[in-house]
Amino acid sequence: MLRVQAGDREAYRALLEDVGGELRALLQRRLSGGLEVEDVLQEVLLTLHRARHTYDPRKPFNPWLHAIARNAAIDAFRRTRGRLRWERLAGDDLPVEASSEDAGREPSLARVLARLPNTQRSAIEMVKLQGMSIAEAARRAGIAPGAMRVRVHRGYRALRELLLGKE
Amino acid sequence: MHENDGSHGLPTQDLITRLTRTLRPVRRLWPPSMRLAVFGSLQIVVFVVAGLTLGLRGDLSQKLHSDGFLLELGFIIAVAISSTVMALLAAVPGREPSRWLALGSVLVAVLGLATAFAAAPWLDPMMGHFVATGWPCAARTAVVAAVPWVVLGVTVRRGATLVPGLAGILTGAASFLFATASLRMSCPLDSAAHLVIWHLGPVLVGILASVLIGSLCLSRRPRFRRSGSQ
Repeated sequence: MLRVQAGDREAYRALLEDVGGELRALLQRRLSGGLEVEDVLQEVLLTLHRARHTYDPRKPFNPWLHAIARNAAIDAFRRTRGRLRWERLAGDDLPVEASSEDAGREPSLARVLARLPNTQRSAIEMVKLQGMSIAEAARRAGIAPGAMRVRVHRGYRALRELLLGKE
Repeated sequence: MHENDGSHGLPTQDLITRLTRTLRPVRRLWPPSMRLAVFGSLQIVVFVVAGLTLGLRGDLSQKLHSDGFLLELGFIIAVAISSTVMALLAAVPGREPSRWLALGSVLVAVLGLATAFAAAPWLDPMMGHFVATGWPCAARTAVVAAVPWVVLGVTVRRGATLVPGLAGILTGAASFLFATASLRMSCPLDSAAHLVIWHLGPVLVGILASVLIGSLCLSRRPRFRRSGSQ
């Protein structure tokens, strides 16, 4: 970091790539995957760039970096609080295929997904299950990114109602 | 590195390349202790200039022998110093004061001042000229606070606060509390109504204004843009 503050570009690239991997893993644990993680990671890297003069070499590096990452993650969480709740419910905490024991008790994600309209199902599958970014999924579907966001949002809402039995 | 697009419309690897290309040497932020020493020196100068231009209250030497007055002044200055320290720390990621500690100390300051001021007699021989004698105190508080407020704000802005609203509160509290301490040594009126409205009032207004201005101006964080607008 000292070399970065002195303007050493090679050291900076190495640092950003190094912390980028570490932060991605950290953010993936805190947020849902795909676009949001890359969004927050890029915000952290930009903030790190703008705040690099505030790093004090006499202090450890990680608390400084993690404070930036934590704040970016909290901001992202606040922005998408409602959406994240359903992303976790639909994606991270439920198995895609229910076991035979679960059949009949809990609706499996696969069964619930099958009941969504095609456009919403494929949006959820691309963004949530395959981890594509909104832009990538929109390109694949041949629609604007904004429209893809709407599809994903509506898909989550429909999933929520199906999973909670509000059919 | 991962190739996903982010909200900034480019893959993370491209962002790293761009940041690397634009890297310039930076002057490291001074440690909070050094910034505090500089701000403290400025504050002393402002105290002296305010004392010379506004004059000192006629009974100041007598007041300085009063335990109550000394306690009140000491309390105001102590909270102003702690607010300054916390504002300077808030400028550095990872060193922000606890939100509860910061807000709690400002709240204690306001309540403490309100209690101290309200303990004075409410009636005043100058009560008939309440506004005429009061508004100059409010205006002087704002004038005395202005330079330290701008300097402290710029100092915090020079850092990279992640909590701009909180930094704004602390910046406002620090500069307006110092100004109030200065005004207490020049204003001869001690009635509770005058102190609460014309001395405490500007502190509250200053803190509220600082929250708004701090939220808008103190952050250096990138603004989030939705990927849908790429």
